[in-house]
Amino acid sequence: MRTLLFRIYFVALLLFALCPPLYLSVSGSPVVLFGLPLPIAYWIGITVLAGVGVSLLYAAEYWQRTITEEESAR
Amino acid sequence: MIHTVNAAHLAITFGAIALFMAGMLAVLYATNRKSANFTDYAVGARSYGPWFVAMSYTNSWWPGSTFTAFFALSVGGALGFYGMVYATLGVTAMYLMAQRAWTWGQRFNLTTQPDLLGMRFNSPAVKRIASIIGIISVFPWVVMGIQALATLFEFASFGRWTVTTCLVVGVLVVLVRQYWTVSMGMRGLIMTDMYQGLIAYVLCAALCVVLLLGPHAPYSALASLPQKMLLIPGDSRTHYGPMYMFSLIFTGVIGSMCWPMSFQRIYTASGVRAVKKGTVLTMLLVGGFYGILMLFAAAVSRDPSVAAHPQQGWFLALFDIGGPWLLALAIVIVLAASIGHVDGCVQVCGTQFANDLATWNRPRSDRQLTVLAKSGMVVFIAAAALVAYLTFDYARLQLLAQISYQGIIQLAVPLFFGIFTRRGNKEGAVGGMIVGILIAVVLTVLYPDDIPGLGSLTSGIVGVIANAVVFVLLAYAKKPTAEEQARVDALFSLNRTPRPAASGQEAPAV
Repeated sequence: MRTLLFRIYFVALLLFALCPPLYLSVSGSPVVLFGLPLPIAYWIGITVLAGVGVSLLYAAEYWQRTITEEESAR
Repeated sequence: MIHTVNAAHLAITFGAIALFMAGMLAVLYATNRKSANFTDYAVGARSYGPWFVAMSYTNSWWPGSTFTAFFALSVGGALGFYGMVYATLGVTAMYLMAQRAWTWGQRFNLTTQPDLLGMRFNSPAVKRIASIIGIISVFPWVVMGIQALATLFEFASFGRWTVTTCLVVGVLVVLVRQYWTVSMGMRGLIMTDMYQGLIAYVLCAALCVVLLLGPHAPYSALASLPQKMLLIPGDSRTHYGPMYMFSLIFTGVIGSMCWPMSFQRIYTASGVRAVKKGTVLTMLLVGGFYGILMLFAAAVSRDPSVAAHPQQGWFLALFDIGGPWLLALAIVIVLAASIGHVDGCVQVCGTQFANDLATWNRPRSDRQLTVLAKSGMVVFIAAAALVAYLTFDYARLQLLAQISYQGIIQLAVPLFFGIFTRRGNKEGAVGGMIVGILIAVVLTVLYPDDIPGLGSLTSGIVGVIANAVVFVLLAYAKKPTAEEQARVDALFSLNRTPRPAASGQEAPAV
């Protein structure tokens, strides 16, 4: 279930980043979001959501103990 | 170019450079340690924690040209911001492949990305072709990195030094620095990456935030950028087709793990957890730093001198705001980023030469491998310095860099198929890479920027599509033997060793 949710999340982010109708829909927009024009806020939003997604994935794997403990001999 | 008649200004800029170099040498001397074996030399004995992995990745990712070429993109419009999207989505791949890539690396003592490809497809040919593609692709970036240092010295000398003098000094700085890269290998690199990264990315981001809060480059200016700056390439009001941004971002996303120096950071980590946590921190660093820098670039875009010379905008803006002191800081920040990137390139190319290519005829001892890696680094940096000198005014060098990017992404097909699926064979990996790179090179020469007839797709993407088709067709055409299938199955079953369960719970059976 966790894997499925994260897959959907990252595929959605990839779509926003890679699908021309989506990113071109904000081109030239004068709308201001958090003090930023929408075309700039759009790219920053995808970046922030990608960072949040990977952080949540790490947290979920950490607490569910699914990250292997294998370490190299130091 | 900024000019001055005040000799004190030169003392400030060169004093800052000297201080930065002294700090770097102090870090190198303080952390110097003789390598015990080749793994120690090549990947620092797989002993580094998440912060070191993250900072090292960031150094290998954002070169000095981030402050010139990418800065100029954001002075001109919203296009520059695409870099943060592909950088963060691309590094997500490091997270997803961490488990297999690190575990295989540790179990089979892999030290380079081609090493992993060779092991996965059980083919020295795959390893060598991937290694050659990697080394050739990295070379133009080292040349441009050295040339960027020359530009730095033009600014530091306020235009008083000739171009030749600046280039010679830039080359000398790189050569002096490389003495320690060659001598210490990955350990020296990672330690200085932390020092350089703190200056190039953390200090830079903090500085930009302060400036965005001040009156010279106010954040509020971003809300009123002219509409032409907000057009995204592919919009009907631009001269690009709709697939242009797709190509740029997709190339960056799949290309992130194809660059050998980026991938090698996985092998410097002390474990899977260090890679994964390192990826989270990397996203913060690569995305955070870059986004803040680009916001600053957009905020100063209406400064007349920046608008007139956007490639030099970082230096001009800081000089306009804070005189020679801030210019000196700007120079040191770019110097830190440039040196960090060149170091990473030189180190990985020397290591790949020894590990992937010089073992062509016979296996080598640890000592031989280390000597070969050091020799490879010396030859590589000497050749890059010579080419940098000879081609300083050669405009077509940028084309070589573009070809290199379109070429390096051809590694994505065997890399992603090889790590995420059990499908594929060495014939498909070799055939796909060769077809892909040939198409990418020919199309880049014909269409250096984009291919108008394909909606502005770039040449590398066309190459990757052909590459993937060849890989898949050959995977279906030649079924693996039972022995090969068993070997691949065993590889994929290596990766399940969960952390010990908390008290009261039982760890799942392996």
